[in-house]
Amino acid sequence: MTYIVRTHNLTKVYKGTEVVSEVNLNVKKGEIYGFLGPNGAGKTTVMKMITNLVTPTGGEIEVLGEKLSPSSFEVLKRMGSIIEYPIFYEKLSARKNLELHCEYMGFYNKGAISEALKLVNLVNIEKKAVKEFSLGMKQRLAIARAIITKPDLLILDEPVNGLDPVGIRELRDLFLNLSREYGMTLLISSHILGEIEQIADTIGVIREGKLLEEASMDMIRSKHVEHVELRVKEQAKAAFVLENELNIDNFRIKESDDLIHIYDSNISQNDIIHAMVTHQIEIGSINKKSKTLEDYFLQLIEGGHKDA
Amino acid sequence: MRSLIKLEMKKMNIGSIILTFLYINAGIIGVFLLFGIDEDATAEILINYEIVFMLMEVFIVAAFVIYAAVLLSHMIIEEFRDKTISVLFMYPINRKKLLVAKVLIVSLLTFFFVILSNIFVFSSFVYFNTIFDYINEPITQGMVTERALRTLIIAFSSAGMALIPLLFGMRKYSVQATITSSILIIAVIFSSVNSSTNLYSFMATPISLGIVGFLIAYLVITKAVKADF
Repeated sequence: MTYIVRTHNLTKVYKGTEVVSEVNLNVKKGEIYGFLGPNGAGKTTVMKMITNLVTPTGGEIEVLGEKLSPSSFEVLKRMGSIIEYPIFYEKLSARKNLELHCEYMGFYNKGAISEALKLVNLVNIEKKAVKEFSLGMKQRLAIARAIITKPDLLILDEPVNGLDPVGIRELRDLFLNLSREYGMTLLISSHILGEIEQIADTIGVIREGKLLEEASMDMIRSKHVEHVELRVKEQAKAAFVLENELNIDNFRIKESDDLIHIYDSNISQNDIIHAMVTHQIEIGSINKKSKTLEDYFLQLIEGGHKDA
Repeated sequence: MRSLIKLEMKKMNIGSIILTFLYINAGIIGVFLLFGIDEDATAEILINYEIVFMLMEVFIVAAFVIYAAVLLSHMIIEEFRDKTISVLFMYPINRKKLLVAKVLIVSLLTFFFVILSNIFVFSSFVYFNTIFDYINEPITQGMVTERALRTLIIAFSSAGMALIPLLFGMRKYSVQATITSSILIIAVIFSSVNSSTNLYSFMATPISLGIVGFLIAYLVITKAVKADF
C-alpha cells in the first residue's frame, strides 16, 4: 500500500496549548480522504503543517514519499492546495492570478488555465479583477488554481464553503473525477458531513486536536448497520412470530409508527420475511437501517471516545 | 533569483512606479524653480553649489526613502497582512529567496532612483542657472567628481536606509507604521544642526544607517522564514 501522506504523532503547540496532538494520519494513494471535524478542531493546522506553512512542534510528516523538514519546498511542486479561505491578489484579474501561479510553480502549459477554469465552471470572468468575485466564485477560482498543474496531491480545506447546492454538487463530481480519472489523491476537510460521506473513501475524524477515528467508509458503513426496520400493521402477531419462531428477543415495538426495530444482527431479512409470510402477516416494508455518518460523527464528537 | 524578481515586477504596476519617479523629480526641480521668483531671497539662500547639493540631497533622499516605504508596503507588508504570502510560501521556492527578491527590488530601485534623480535635478539646475543666474560660481571638474562619489555612497546608503521601516511595519503588518516610520527617520536625520549641516552631512550617518537597514532586512527575513502562517 502506498501512502501519499503519513503523519506520525504530529503535534503543534501554540502558546502552551496543544492544538494538534499526536495525530497519525494515513492517506493512501489515489483515495479521497475526508477530514472531518468541528470548527477549531485543528483541521487547518494539520493541513498547514502538511503544506509546510506551519512547522510542527513534534512528530513527523511524510508527503509523497519525502520526509518534510522546515526547509523543504521541492515537494510542494507536486501539491495543489486551498488552505483556510481563497486568497488571491485581489486587484489582479483571475487569469493574471492563475498565470502567476503557473510561473511560481514552474508550470508552462498555458492551455491548462482555460482548461482548469472550465472544469470549475468559471467562464467569461478571466479578465475580471478577483475583488469583484463572490465568495463562491473565489472558491471555484481557488480550486481551479489548485488543479491547474494536475498535482499528485490535492489539499482542500473546506472547499465547498460559500457555494450553493448546485455548485456543491458540481464540485463533488469534479472531485470524484479528479480522483478517478487523473488518479489524484485528495485530502478534503469539512464540517459538512453529507458532502464528505458521499465521496470519501476514508474518513478521519478530529476533535480538539486529536484524531478520534480513521477508517474506510466501507468499514464505517458495515460497522454501523444498526437495525432492521419492519413495518407491519399487526404488531402483536408479528412480535409473537419474532419471539417464538425466530427466537429473537432483541426488538422494540414502536406502536405510533407501526414499526418494529429488530436489533439482532444475526438474523437475515429473508428469514424475517419468510416467517411473516408464513404466518400471513402483511409486511408494509422492511429496511436495513444504518446510522448515517452524521449520527456516527455526532456521536464521536459528543462522546469524545471511540465506540466499541 | 532573476526570475523571482521578474515575477515580483509583474505583480507591480511598473508604469506607475516610473510615473512616480518622474513626478518626484518634477517636484524637486519645481522647488528649485521657485527660487527664481524672489531674487533677494534666493541670493540669501543659494550662495554656492555646496548649498544646492545639500538641498538636492535632502529632497531626493527624503522623497525616495519615503517612496521606498510605499513600495515595501505594497510588496511585503500587504502580502503578509492580506495573507497572500501564505500562497507564495506554498510554492516550491525557498522562502528566503522569495523575500530577498522583494527586498532587493526595493533596494535596487531606491539606489537607481537616487542616482538618476541627482543627475536629473542637477542638470536641470545647471540649465535653469543659465536663465536665472542663481549662482555665479563656476562648476569645476573636482566638484563634479566629489559629488559623483558622494552620490554613489548616498545612493547605497539610501538603498539600505529604505529598509529600516520594515522593522516597524512588520510588527503588526501595518502600512501606516511602515510609512510613518520612514517619514520619522527622514525628519530625524535631516533636522538641522545649523543652517548648512544636518546629521546626514556627516558621512558616518548615511553609511551606518545604510548598514543598519540591511541588517534589519536580514533579521526580518530570517524571522519570516521560520514563522508559521
